[in-house]
Amino acid sequence: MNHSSKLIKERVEKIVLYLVIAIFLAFCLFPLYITLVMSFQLPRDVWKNKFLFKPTLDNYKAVLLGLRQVGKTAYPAVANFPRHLLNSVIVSLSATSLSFLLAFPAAYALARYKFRGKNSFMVYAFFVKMLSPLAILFPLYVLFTKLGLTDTRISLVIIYMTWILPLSVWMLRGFFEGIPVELEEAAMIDGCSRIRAFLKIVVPLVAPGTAATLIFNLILAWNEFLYALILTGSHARTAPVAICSFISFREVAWGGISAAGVITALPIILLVIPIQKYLVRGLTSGAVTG
Amino acid sequence: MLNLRKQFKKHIPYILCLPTFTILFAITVIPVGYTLYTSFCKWELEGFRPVFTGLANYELLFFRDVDFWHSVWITLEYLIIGLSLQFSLGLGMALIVNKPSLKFQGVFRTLIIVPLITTPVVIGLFWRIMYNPTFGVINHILQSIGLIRQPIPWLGQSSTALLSVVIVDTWQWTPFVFLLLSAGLKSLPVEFFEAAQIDGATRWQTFRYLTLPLLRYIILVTILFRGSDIFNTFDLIYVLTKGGPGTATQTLNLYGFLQMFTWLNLSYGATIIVSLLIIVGLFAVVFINVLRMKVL
Repeated sequence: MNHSSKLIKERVEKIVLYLVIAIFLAFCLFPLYITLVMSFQLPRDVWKNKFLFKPTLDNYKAVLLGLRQVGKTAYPAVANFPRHLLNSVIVSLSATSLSFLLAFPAAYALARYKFRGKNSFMVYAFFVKMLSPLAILFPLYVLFTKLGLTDTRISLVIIYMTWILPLSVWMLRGFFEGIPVELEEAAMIDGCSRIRAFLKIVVPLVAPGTAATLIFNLILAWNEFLYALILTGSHARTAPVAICSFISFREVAWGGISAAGVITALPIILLVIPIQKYLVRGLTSGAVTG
Repeated sequence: MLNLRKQFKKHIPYILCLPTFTILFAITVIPVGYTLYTSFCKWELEGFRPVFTGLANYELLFFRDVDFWHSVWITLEYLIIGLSLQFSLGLGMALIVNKPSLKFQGVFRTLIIVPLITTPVVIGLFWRIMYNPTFGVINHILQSIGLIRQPIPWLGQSSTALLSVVIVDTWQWTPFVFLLLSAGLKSLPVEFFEAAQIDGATRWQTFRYLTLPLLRYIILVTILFRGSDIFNTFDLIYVLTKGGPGTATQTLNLYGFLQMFTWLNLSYGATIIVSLLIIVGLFAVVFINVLRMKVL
């Protein structure tokens, strides 16, 4: 009697736990679901908040082709979105690659070598991460103005590259530390030079972690808003800033905003799915072991 | 010949770190210095020349600016409410999901990352739509259930604006807290918990006297990360309320932005930004020292 009632209690508990998890997940994914739904709605359906409606691709057509009017709906500010999206792609990819070139050797040095100033370097990198963008925005704006680099993609690339650097170093260092030194030492005993040991042993092992770091940096650069807001005008504007400008005084094209939002957010979500495990490990490893 | 090689080898780590260090220095330390200098000046907009005025801006800021202290207070509220919500939810979920018997943990983790990686601007705009009094989903659902009769202007009235913004922040960052705490829980040795179970400890006792103390390090690290992030939160607040209504959601960061870039009081804005840096710096220093003590 006692044993079976305990079993029932455990079962009920399990069901409750699954329920809680489901509710939490629903809470986390709900806004994105709403966005997705709204991106397929015409303005009149948005206002009515109906559950059943006729889906339309008008919003996506307008946003991806930069049209001012599709059917009966006007999209006042959408005109240059395709170009802004392209700017986002170019800037994010460039900043990520450049940042990687700098972070990779530094992370290896921090993981493998003991040297004077190592700890202060890491603390210094950490403080850079905590710096508010506002602190460097104005001087850099002045600098870029003097160099004639306002409203260019290059200015964004330079800033993003720097801003991404500390987290990049942090994550890569964690991955390097996860590879035992003994492997490299064994390879060197077998006759490899240090560099060869590195290329043949460490690089393949650290590849998934590196991919995760690269993708995470891509995400950071892609989502960045404040620097892009101040440093770009209509020419080099990126997607997040462009979406913000959809809310004009005359009319708010909610369908257009939803479609643009989905297009901006979706590629990242798709990119993250395969590397999710390494991404989480990279973010948390440094924190757990310090 | 051998000596030269040895010298080179000794300097390898420095060489590897040099590019990173240089770029960080050039694009971070120097501009901060310039901002600091600006805060000690008053900018004459015609001719774009700074005039050195010493501590005048700071005197104005600390002793005569009500908005400054108000924004510090708003930031503190945001910090406390946000961290409490994110911690309770994150820790709760971490404890629940950590049981090894539960399936789908991988799927759960993949889905849970989504709020973290979605563009904050998009998140802000979407919650803004959801909070909309006329056709927003939140009011719609609350009204159909019957909890409220009139739609609530969540972002439009000062009594609910800050809470609404904090809720969006919580929505976005609880998964992060969850991931960190979950990783921490996973790293705890199972033997302790088995011993506790044998000794007959209740679940609450195990949590309070075993789990929590063991997690102390990672809890502090999480507070450090999230705390400093909250001080620098900009995208969400800007897109949701721009600091309004009035000054209800005007954190220190946002106040600095408005002064410097919207109202073009360059030197005064710099003063606010420097004070923000000092506050965040103090916050970090306190926590890092607490962390160091725990490790020892």
